[in-house]
Amino acid sequence: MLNKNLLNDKKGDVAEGMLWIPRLLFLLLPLALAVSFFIAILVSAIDVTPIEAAIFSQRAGTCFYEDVGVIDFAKIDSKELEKCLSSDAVGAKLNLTVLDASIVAKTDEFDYLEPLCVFNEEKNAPYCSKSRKYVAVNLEGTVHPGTLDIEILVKKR
Amino acid sequence: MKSNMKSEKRGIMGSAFATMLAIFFLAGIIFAFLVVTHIFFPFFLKKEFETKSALSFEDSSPAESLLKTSLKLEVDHSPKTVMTFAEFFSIYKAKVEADVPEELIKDRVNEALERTYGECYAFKVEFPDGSEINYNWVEQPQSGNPSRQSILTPTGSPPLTPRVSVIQHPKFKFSFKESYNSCLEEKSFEECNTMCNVKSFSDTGSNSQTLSGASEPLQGREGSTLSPAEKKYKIELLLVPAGEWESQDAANKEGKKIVDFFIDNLPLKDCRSKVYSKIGNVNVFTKNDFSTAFQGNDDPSSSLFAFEEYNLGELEWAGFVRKKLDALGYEPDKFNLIFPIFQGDSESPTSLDTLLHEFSHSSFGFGDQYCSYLSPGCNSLLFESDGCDPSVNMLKKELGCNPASTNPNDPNVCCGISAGISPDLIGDGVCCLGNKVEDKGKTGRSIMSANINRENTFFDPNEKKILSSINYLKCSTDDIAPEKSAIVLIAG
Repeated sequence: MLNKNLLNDKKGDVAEGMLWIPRLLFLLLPLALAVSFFIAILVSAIDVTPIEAAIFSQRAGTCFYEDVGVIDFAKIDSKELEKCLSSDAVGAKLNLTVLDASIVAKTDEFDYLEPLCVFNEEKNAPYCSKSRKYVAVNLEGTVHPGTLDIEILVKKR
Repeated sequence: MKSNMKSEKRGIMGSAFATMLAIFFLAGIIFAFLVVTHIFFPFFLKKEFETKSALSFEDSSPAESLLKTSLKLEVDHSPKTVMTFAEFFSIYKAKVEADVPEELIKDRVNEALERTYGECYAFKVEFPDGSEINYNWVEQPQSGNPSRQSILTPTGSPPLTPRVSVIQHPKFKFSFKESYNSCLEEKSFEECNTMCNVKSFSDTGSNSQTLSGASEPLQGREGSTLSPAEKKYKIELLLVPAGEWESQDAANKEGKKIVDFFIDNLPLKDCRSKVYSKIGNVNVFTKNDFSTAFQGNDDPSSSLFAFEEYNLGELEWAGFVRKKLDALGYEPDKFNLIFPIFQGDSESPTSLDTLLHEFSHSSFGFGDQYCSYLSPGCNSLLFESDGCDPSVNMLKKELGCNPASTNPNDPNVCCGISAGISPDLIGDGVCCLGNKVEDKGKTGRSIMSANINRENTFFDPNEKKILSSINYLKCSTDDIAPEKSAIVLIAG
């Protein structure tokens, strides 16, 4: 009798133990939801690449200023542009047009990363942006109206 | 006992079931909460960082560029006028308004900007009296960030967000906005060019453009020479034609001869190509005004006034000239010397060297070479006398000018009738021949001589020695330095 009771007790213990599986499961599920809920609020991965690109774009636009808004046509040069940007994570292309004269300077990075710009939305593709500025261009001592097209790409980290 | 155990078992099962129900219920509530907040308050769950808003900083460089761009205007019955937009807007209300229609100004600005932004831009120039030049500018509502307000693109495409910049100039306020770059955020250059009707440079026919010396070399003040942030030259002169002139060309030629003389007698002559000599081209506004101003002076037919008289300081007419120059954007205070030139000056040796003579007073500390041996000599300071500090370029008998001599046979006689100077005055503040000079195969006298009939004038050896020690007159081996040595502008 005693043995039987003991046997029944063992079965009960097992059943009781099995019950803790769904208990734990349903305890953990809302806990995980709650934690993910707070993580969603508190932790955000901010992609600052567009801001980085805009800042480099601003810098690239001012690399050859001899005065604010006035670009020295003779100084436009790819190597100088690379020096000015001084970052391997960035490639840039400047296209300065003054009246009917045009000059282009671009970094090596731009050349090999630029084809990837078509995948701009992809996760690891470089971020590409472009902008245009009206500039005054000092061409051999006289100031002419001109346009500076800036294309910039930034490697995503 | 047995039944108790059974009921306990049920109790345990019942409790577990209730717990499960409670957990399910709780999970359901949380899930529902998440769904509801996701739907109705997405911003609450995940911060969508609007990186574009971080990029809406103001970039005023295009507006600054425009203001530094040269503007060439052709006004009725007058030659072309070249100045920067900033200069032009500065004087617009002062003088030009009646002569230059607002539409023409808009055209000139448009010629510059439409090749960059097509029609996707607007600008406004506001003047202190409340008037303005407005092109496509529509005031935005006060509420909200004005830079995020939209303006329509010309082709009826969706509205684009303009970028606005404002430049507050002492004499006007320039506001500028463009939406071309908003288009570039989504589209290619080609698409945006089409959307904004950007004319390419080849479309505009650059040879026919009237902006900034596009069709011919500038002969005058291009934007880079007079803009506020321009390079500071060591010598900056402004020659202002005064009196009556037969033509602007005559004034320019006269000015050039005077400037040539000026440079030829300074160490700068050795790097002459590096000395800027530019002829201003604003005569349409200045000629009559300056003529009137100088005619109000004692003797406008002569340019033999002392530098102080031309220093635009005290005299009423000088104040008038200053005001005019200021209105024209010449910034009179920046020049070492503003000097009037009169027709025929270069034909008179005395007039030819007057610019250099007066400049030497103000810049090199040279004094007039007067005879002063009778007086204590402490006023003119040009004669060695006890108790006085002599002028750095005083008369010296070793230099061929002895103010004490009255012997007409003395080769160094220098003053009074013995030296051929009439009237026969000797003393402080009266004229002498000046120290002797031999230069370029000619015998002459010092440029600093007070003799109004001086001819063949050069700096005497003592003066040359002093000049050779002045650094900014030296031709540097530096590629840049000589270019900064001097600039001469001749206002028309």
